[in-house]
Amino acid sequence: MANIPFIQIQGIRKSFGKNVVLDNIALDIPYGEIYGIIGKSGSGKTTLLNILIGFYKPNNGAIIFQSRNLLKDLMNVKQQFGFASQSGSFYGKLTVKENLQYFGKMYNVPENILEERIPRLLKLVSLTDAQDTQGRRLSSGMKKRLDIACSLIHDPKVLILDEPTEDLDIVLRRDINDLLRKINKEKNVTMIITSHLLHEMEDVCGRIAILNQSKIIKDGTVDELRDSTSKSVEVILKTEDQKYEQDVKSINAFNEVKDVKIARDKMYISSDNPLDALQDVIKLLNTRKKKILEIKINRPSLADVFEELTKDKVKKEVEYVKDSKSNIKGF
Amino acid sequence: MLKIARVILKDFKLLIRSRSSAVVVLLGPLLLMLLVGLAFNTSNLFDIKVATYSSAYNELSDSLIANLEDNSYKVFKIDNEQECINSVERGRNHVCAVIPGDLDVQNTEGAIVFYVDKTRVNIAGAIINSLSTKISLKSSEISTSLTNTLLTSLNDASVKLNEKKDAIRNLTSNLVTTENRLISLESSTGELNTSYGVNISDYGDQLDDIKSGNNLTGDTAEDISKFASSFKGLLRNLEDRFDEIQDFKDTTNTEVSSIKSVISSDKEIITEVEKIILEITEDIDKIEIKDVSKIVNPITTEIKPIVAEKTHLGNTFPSLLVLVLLFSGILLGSTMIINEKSSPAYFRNFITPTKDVVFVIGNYFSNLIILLLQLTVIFVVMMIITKAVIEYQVISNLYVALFLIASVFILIGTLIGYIFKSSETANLASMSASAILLFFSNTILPIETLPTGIRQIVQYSPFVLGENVLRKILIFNESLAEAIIPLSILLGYVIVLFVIVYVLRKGTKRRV
Repeated sequence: MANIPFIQIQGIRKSFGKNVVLDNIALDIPYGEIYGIIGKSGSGKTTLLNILIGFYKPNNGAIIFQSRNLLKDLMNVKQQFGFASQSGSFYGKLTVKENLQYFGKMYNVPENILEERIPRLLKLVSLTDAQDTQGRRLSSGMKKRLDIACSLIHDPKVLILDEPTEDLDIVLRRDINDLLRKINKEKNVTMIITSHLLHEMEDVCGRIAILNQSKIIKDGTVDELRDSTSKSVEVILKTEDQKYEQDVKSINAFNEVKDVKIARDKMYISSDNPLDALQDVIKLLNTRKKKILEIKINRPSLADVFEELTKDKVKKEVEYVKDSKSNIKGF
Repeated sequence: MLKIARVILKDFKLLIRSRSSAVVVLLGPLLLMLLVGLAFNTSNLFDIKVATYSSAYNELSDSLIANLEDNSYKVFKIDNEQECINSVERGRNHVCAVIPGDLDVQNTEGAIVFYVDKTRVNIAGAIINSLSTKISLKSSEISTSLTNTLLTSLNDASVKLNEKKDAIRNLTSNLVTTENRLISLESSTGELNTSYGVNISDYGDQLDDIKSGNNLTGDTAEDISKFASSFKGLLRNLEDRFDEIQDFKDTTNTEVSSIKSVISSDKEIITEVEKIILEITEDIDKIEIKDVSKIVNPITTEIKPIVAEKTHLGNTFPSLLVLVLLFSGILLGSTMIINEKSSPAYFRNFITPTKDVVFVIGNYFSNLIILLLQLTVIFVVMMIITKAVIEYQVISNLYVALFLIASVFILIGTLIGYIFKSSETANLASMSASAILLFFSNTILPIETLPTGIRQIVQYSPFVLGENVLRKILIFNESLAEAIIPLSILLGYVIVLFVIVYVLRKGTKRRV
């Protein structure tokens, strides 16, 4: 089920004046997937999401959802897609329940269904006790949960979240991520999430696309992305004596080992074949009667992948960000 | 101090870099001053429309109308008196002048009646003063003519009497002379001596003695001689007396003749004087108007209100209502939109499958309900204070009109709310727009004080239209059909503004 292309983004291009924000974006988003889009600030993530929810019209391209081009049927997009913004889109002076009632109505949810759905939704986002509290009086985490509840009030098939854990502390971030997984599991909602908190994206998302300089430069599962990097797996080892100088020379001689470094009280061994390398290292240390206190295998993180894929474009990226900012106009 | 300077510098930079704020803050007041300055830099009234009715116009009434007609006043003759009065009620004309048929200065009955809409407090007085000045000019002209006739008669009398002054003086002199002569004649008559100088009885005795004696002795002869001598003396005296009497007679005859001649001459003078007096009397009789009040004020006027006079509050109530709608509607409309736009939820509304028009209509009705509630409170308070009873029909008409007027102002406010981003700028723009609409209405100064070009635009201002409609309904108890034109224009505004607001709302999507 997860591999069925549920949403197909085809050749999307969007520019504001001369500034091209998205250029030939193409993605296949499977059904029921939590799909992450990562990119630096100003890379066009929010613009892409705004196109997906029908808020912006692209210059070119199509979004195929259930065999229909959503760009020609915006009302359907709005009915089928839910969106939770970065800042939280609800009325601060309305209570939690009033917000849900209001947006439910705006999403054409019949009154009887709304009455039945609101308590369930409040329970899902753990806001039952706060249903009569005004939005502005909620804590940051509750506000985020209310925003997610508002975006789910019409029971969308797709939930789009723009940096949902932005500005939250680590505990709240974990709560929200748990909630997203719970929603994905219980409601079977396909999710598209943007964030620059890459380690969280690794945990939450099944597939991830990397957006850089207006283009998707890579997409795939987290493992596929890791595999695509040239960076080796790192084995971290700590022995009781913490004397590694002689060991480094020996380990460096192993075929499977690419590099060995000592940092503080640990030894860092890089290898493309970490399990074989680790077996050789353990044998060596046993021979030398060294007691191993700690072994840790660090695979290349999403951040590593992202850094590697985008580092040669940093200079251009800076210029791009400047351009993007200069494009922000308003009264 | 440096910190304060830095804060000021920052504020100015923020202001200048926010284009709309800069425009509103800097150019708004200037624009307001420019418009108001251009419009009100005059003390004249323009295009005051005077409707006249008379059962029979004549030279005097036509000249009066001609006197009224100038740059400020336009006069229209209307065939029916009631229609003339109604035209003022309906605002087509400012004044209705009902002129008595065959207007005549001598006619003591009819005054010219001016029907004025006194509910337009700030212009009724000005029109009355202006008309009074114009009528009093004509009145003065007639008064001058009448006085001139009077003075001419007096002058003629004076000249004629002067001409006869010498004759009268001669008459006086003659009478004095005649009087003196008569006195002299009287004196002469008194002096006339009628005594004979002898005692007649003595002559009698003597004659008796002569008779008794008869012997004419010496003594008798002597006595006869004495008698003869005395008798002769007596005769001489008599002769003298008779001469004197003759002289007196001659003198008297001469005097009487002379006096007769003088009297004859005086009679001629008197006849002439009598003739002159007759002429003067005829001249005076020729003056037709001798009534002092008619000479002083030959044309009388009367000012009548077209409806029963109310208190100033009653008269200004329609303006007050529109004023409340203006400020509340524009400020509430703009504030609500600014609040909505600055709410994070504004974005979510755009991504719901609800059409923009629903939000525009929703916001509009929210404002409308608040305004109508405000107005209901005002009505209730007014009715309690003034103890007025308003008919159901008037209330229903009133609410239809208020609905349209409020809609226009709400949509203007909404439009401002969508144009401007910050609440400060929107409030300033709302206040400026309200001030412009207020200045260019009848509330502060009558629009008749505006130059023609500006007034032609201003008469379509929603404030002016609203005020007119409410006056028709509240003061003149007219039906909606009577106010169909301004109501239609207001409806047109509502439709146009609604479309603009809808387009602007769609436009704000880019700025969310």
